[in-house]
Amino acid sequence: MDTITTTIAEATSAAAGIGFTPNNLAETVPIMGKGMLGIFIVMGIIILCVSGLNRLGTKPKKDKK
Amino acid sequence: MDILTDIFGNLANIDPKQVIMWIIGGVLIFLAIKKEMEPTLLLPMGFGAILVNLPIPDPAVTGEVSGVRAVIDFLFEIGIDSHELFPLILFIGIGAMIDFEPVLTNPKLMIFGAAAQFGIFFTLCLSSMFGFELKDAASIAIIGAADGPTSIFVANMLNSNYTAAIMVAAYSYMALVPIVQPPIIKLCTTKKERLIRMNYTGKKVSKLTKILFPIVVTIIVGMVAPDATALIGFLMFGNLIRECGVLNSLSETAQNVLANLITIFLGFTIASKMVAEDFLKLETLLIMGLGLVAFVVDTFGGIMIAKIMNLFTKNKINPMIGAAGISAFPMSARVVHKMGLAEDNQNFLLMHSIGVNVSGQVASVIAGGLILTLVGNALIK
Repeated sequence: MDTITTTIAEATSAAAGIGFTPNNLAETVPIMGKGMLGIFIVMGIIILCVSGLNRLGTKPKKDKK
Repeated sequence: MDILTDIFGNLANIDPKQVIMWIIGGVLIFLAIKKEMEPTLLLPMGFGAILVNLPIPDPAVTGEVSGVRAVIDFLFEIGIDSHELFPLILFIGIGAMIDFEPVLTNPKLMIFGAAAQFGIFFTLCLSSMFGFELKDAASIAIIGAADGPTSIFVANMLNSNYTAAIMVAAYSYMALVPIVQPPIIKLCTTKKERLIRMNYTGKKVSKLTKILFPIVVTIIVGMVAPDATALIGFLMFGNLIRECGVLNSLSETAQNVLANLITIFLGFTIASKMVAEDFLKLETLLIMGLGLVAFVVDTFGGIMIAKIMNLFTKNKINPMIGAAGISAFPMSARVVHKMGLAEDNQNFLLMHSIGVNVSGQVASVIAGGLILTLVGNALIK
């Protein structure tokens, strides 16, 4: 696995002068976790609000006597 | 001889890199006209790319930037650089175009919009591993929002060094949705799954709900992701104009005249960043590749959440609709609908996929806001 990573790193560096630094994941993975969690929470709140709005907007049918 | 030198002397200023940019501009114009790929943006961008790469006398000699470059730079300064004016105003038009009814009748569809933003964060990690600075990695990742104004907004707010490449990638892949998504969808789903029929209840949504929805969403998103307030606020303002029922004239203007006017200037303005020396870098190719990864993983994320939900729900969901969560509105919804019809000519997925698609529009704005907040915090540390 290390060999593959090293090969990719060398090839990328040679081609574009850009490094391949898996260590950067330590910084970005928490952002990914928080970001996805944040989106689901916000969308969850919006779903609850929309459900509430739908109930609010639906007038209960009056029973015909 | 002196006359010839006077007339054609500027030819000596031509740089081979500029010629390459003319070709790139030509390709964009070709794609816009011949292939009808996002012509409203690719055509102005293509022409602008040629325009800003014409040889001009060296500013170091003349003491000032030449006319056309100065005008386009000015447009960039006031339209994008200062307060992201163009993308925000365009969002009013987009908001006025969107009918949220399909998602209001079935709010659960919003889950797919959320899941389909996974590509953004996956690409953030990948870009960062390729050695891009965090602010650039985040700006590249937002290509996965599949939403031009959001990409421009985030890349500019983060002051990315690759704004032009990001904008070109964002709009190119949005145009390429009908080519990029179908193979991924087929790869991630079985024929049996693609044949799943979904009933559309067609419930009526009250006018009150339609009016309150943009207001409530603005308040919620504004509180959770304050950096996205401008984006969501302008989007939802446009939608409120549409739904209020008393501003039909303004709604039509926002959908047509305003959106078209801004689009003309936006494409032209983006081209100001397509100057050869800034654009012709290997990083640009890498950004195009990472943008593609973002779109692919977004599609994958949306489909997978549908498959997971199918494990627990009685009424099965056609996983293809999850792919429409990438927000490229309305192309992605149409792609899913067409694929459904191709499998079964009586399977109409349009209303479901449109619902997921507009959810993706909202989710991508939230993702943009969260990226700005989270990356901003990380950069401060």
